[in-house]
Amino acid sequence: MTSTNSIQDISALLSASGYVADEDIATAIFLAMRLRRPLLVEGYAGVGKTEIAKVLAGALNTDLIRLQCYEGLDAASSLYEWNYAKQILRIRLDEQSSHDAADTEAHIFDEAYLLERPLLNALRHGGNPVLLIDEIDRADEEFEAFLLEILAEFQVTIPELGTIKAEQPPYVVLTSNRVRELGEALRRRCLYLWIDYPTLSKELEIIEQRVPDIETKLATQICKFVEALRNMDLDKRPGVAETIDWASALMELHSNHLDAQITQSTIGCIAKTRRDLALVRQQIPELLESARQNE
Amino acid sequence: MSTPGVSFASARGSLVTTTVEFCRLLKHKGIAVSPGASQFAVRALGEVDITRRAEFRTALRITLLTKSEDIPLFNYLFEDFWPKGSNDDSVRETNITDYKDPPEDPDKNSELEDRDSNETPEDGDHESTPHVGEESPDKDEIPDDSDESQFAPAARWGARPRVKSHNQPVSPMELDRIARALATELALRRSRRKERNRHGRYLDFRTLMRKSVHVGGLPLVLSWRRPRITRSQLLIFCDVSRSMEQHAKLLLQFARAIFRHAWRVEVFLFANHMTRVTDRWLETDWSDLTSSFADCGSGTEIGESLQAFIADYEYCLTGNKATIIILSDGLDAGEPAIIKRSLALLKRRSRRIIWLNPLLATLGYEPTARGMAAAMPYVDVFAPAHDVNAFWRMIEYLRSGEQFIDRIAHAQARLN
Repeated sequence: MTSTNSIQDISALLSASGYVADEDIATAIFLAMRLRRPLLVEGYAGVGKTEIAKVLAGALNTDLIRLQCYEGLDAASSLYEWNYAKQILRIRLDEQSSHDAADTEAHIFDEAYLLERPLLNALRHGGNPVLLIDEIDRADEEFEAFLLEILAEFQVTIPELGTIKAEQPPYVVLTSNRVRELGEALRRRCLYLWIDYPTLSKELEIIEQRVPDIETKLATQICKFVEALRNMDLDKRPGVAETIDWASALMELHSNHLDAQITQSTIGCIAKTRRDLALVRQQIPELLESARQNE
Repeated sequence: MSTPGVSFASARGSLVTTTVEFCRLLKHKGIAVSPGASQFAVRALGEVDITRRAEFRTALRITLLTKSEDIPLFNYLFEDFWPKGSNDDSVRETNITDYKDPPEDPDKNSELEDRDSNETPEDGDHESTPHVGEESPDKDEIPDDSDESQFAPAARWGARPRVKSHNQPVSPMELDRIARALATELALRRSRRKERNRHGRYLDFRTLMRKSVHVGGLPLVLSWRRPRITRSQLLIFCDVSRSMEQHAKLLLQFARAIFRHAWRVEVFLFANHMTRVTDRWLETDWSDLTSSFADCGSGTEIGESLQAFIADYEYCLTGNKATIIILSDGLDAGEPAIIKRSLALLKRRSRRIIWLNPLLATLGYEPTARGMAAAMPYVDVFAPAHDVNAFWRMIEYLRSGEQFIDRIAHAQARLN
């Protein structure tokens, strides 16, 4: 494994994998790894929360196990489920060979009939995987409470099998968009990282990293434009992901600078509701003006 | 950055003490820091290069904070506690109670508010909250609607509330029916989780499998699951200040009726502080209750009361799914900023905030009193509460999910 002995190492690892991390992010990842604590990442949509886990897995050359949360997510779809079809077959077979019913019952709730879901998979993986629990705020409070044992002890209890403890605990990254407020108990068990919109220079760096052939002049204009956009009263403010999309779109259209026409036709990359679209369209001349300043 | 290295290096010996001291300061300033977190902070400082100020600060921030709202205050306190290039000794002598609140930094505040309004669209602006709208048909009768009234002091309404008196005696039976309907509407919710139930529509394989072992794998008796009905908690805040005197009786009766029908209800009375009356609720008569309440009939400080609630009874908000009902006219003598801050917190930590305002029945009433205006962005349902019909209409609204605003405007037009 690559060395991860200092924050600088982590920064280097991240940037080698194409993630432009500022010092905050690198420090948070470093501490999460050293203190063996889950990392709770909050921030606006599209600032690269999920990306942290992906890049981390890539950088550490380990598996990424992802659990996408949704309302009603329960143990059966996040932790484990019994393989019912296989169980039925087994019961039928045992019936013919006149096994004791108690015996059969002991058999069918055995490891062989267990279907691993992401959380159990992460605990039994054995190779320090990265476990990404994405958009935890979409799951309900019950699920949050259920996670507490896993996050604090890296172990889980299955009634039929007993307690399973991770030999090599996973690196856990939780992300939240703040659809609802997370419980204090969960927050207390995690290190907390808030990712803000990137600064102009950082965003420029990201664009140049992710859209390799882009001209600096165009990239700068895009970043300034988006930055001005974020100060407007929009329903959905564009995140870094949108900026990258837009830059890629402009590259596909072979444009090397922003003008009113090309902006009009590609504005759907960064304005995502009808109201926003109308608002932004109105403001395009002013926004372009600010994007071209100090060139 | 100046050369902070010196002070940090010299602080190494007493670093643990100083860090714990800093944690105490954060706690004192209202940032929840658990003992576990301070332990991790100390451990984290062992991992990073503490001679680098930014790294030092980030390590503390990541381990100690749990909410982005606390970041500006943390930064401010950090700068104050560990001034750049200062001598460390001076820090430890500082008494934590000497710390002033951070100056109102307009930039930071607006940034935070900005984020709130952008992230939770239901926070919205005034227009998005259903309330009696500007399109009231008899605009002429509205007591002066000039710019000045936008910032009308509370007293303007408080002195002589122009509510049509509907104080007919309300039959307890009627109130009881209302309360039952409301409790059902507010507290019951169909969850997406499922539970075992004979009348369910989804097969429960796990139980099925166990049952069928004994009959050779034949699913003779089916087991079912159905969506669970969850019950959320109700918190009722009843304003008993002077301006609410004529409504207090009805509202307290109402609160009491709800208390009988809902599952987990907490009742609080407030004027300029918050008192929990849940325990005393069933044994005493409501009139005893108000008379034993020291504040009764005094001025209102809604924000301060809510703040007191948050400080003393935060456990009521566990799980963030309580429904909060505020019974108040919104005439406030306190600081609007405090109302704003405490309601924003309540909003984040609850499922829904319902504000029942007796003054809303007044023709042309608009929530422009300072306190009410500050509260509006955080209120999900804003409805009148001057008589029984108002309660029924609100229940109807909650059932239908329609825009309350039109119904009330129409009802007002009919009444007059």
